[in-house]
Amino acid sequence: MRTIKTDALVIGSGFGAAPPALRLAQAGFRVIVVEQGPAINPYTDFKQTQDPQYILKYLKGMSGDRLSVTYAEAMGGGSGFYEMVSLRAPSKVFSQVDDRGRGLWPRGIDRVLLDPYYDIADEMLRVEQIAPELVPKSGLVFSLMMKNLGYSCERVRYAVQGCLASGFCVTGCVYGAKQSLLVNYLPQAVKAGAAIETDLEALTVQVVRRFVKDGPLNDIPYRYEVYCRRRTGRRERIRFCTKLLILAGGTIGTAKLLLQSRENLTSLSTQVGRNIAFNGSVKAAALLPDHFPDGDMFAGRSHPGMMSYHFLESRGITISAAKPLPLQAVAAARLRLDGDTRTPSFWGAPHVELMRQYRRRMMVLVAFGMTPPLGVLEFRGGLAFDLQLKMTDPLRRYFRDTKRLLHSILLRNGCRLVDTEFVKHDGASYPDLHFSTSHHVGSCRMADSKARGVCNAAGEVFSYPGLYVSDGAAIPTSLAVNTSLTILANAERITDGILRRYRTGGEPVSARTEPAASLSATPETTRYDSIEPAVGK
Amino acid sequence: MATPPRSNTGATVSRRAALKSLAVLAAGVGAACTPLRMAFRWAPGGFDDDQALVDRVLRGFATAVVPGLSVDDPNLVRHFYDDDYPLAKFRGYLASDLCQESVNRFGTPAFDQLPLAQRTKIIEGKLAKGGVTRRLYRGAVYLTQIACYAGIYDPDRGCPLIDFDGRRRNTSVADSTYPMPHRFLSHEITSDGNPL
Repeated sequence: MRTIKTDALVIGSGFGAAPPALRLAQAGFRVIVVEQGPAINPYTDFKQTQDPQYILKYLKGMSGDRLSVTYAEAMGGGSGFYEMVSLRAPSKVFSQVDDRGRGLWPRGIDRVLLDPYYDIADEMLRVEQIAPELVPKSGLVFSLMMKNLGYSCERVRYAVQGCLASGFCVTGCVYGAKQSLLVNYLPQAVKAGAAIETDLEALTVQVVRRFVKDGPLNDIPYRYEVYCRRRTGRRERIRFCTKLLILAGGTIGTAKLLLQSRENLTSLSTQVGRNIAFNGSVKAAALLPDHFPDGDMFAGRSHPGMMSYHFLESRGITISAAKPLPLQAVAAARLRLDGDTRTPSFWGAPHVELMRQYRRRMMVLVAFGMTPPLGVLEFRGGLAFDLQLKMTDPLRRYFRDTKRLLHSILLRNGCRLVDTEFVKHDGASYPDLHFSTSHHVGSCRMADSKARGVCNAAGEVFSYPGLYVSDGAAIPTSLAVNTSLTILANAERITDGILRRYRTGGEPVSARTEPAASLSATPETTRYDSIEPAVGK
Repeated sequence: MATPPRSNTGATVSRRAALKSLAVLAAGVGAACTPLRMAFRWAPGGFDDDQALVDRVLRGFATAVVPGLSVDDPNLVRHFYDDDYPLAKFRGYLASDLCQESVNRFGTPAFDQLPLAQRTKIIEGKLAKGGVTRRLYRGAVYLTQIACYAGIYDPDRGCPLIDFDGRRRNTSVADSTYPMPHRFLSHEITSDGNPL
């Protein structure tokens, strides 16, 4: 087994990993990024295809009876495959409370605090609000529906430059228009000296020295060891010794690693793997009435461009349209016209009739909501994990009321409802109410105390100095909007704190500080294929 | 004279009771045979050897699940031969089961020659059964829909049946939107699209 020593080891390479990788390398620290998924060259590796084998190479899932989540295992994390929606979390999000009335976010963290970090993230990803003349047809039709009912509707913000509207954002942008982390943060990190290792899985974390005198990183001994195994070739094993360990393998990946390491990290909070928020995703579909213009499920960017905040204050939800490609639509749900009593109706001639109308006459609505963090990832030993959702009466009411609202919007516009029964990977129905999401956060949440969370407001794991969580796992609540920009901004904030603490040996920063000048955005696009990964070479 | 069989408790049981027990046992074994035959991928009637027959029957199945597809489409049943998917192991069994049911219901083993309505009836009946049979047919319907609608074996062609035109290299933004979009837009409550 090889041993490699470094100042900072970052596990993961997605939205929570990119800021520490870049900023710490820019500050002159030795940085190694460990990604368990494959390397991606965004200019040659992406494909416009619906072939499940291509998609499953990068996108993974985990399912329980009531909750299923999708996440990426690839260099750049989900950034290569997301819909590019880049929105700030509503202020209301930060005042969510638990069932005892206690705030779910650590004191001091709110939208005002995050806004300067959102600014940096916006610049790095070149986020812009979509121009009216670029909104895809399905988004315009959705907006027209909201307009008909007097509801407001906003043009969404995206991380894209020069979009060609090919409609395959979710399989990776073959044009390099999407501003994924593969064209900004990661190549810049490598340019600054960071090394990125792909196909390398972190298996366990061990403590070498838990408590050491705080000071500049150069004066601090190696504190953690991470044992990794190569997923390709001869399954090489590598031991990393690091002074700072930053966990950013995603909500599922980070929790898995900590749960697998619990024997070594005996003082970990009992909250690891708990409190997973899932953004309360509720979907509804319908066929448009004849007097409506066509939508288009397949042309234009994968997200239809419009989102309504009309019900954010009153119900804590946002509503947008969705444009699932055929694979996403057919693999996820059985579609059948509401009230269609013909048998069969989810296959055969009636289903073909419906699918013929899918591209231009079907409207799919999605609501995201501030549902409580009730998901739990449990370690069953070995490599086995279970994903559970504690179903509660308020959650059932939320689902029923939100679905009713979506149906009401569709029906009052004259639509004919389409029943969407979500199915498992073998086509079987779920036995109960089921939520599915790619916006899961919070398995190792920030909190004011170890009794309620895994890390503090600075992202540092309780009882483990120098061990940080900087990804979606640290985000304590549902956001009611897409989560990527908030994860990125929070990771910038956590990295800012790390730099202040370890560059000069100062004290941990308080929550209320402005970003350091060194965090200025450098939104240059760097081609990844010009940069060589470096570890062990 | 044969000795009457004895029960587990040693009590003598009648011939009628013994036959009844055997019938229950036989039914159990019969039911167990479905997964057993599937596990060993055993398909009766020469299905394991006659790939052309299997292909014809599976094409009859796929065009019943997604009517409107061409029976001659080269990719129509490719998912049944693709080792990346679980059905590749069971295609012989599936084909033989469809033909057997065709005999049971309509008196002919030529499932692929049956009219659409009769093929649909057979599949519908299988989906209504329980256990392994339902799982097999549900999986076969599900994967057939995915393969056909998503055009997984021909990204350039997509699925013309549902106007999915597949990979797009020459796209224009103008095709994806409407002129004069302000006709559609509702009032906005934010200045930049971010929620407040």
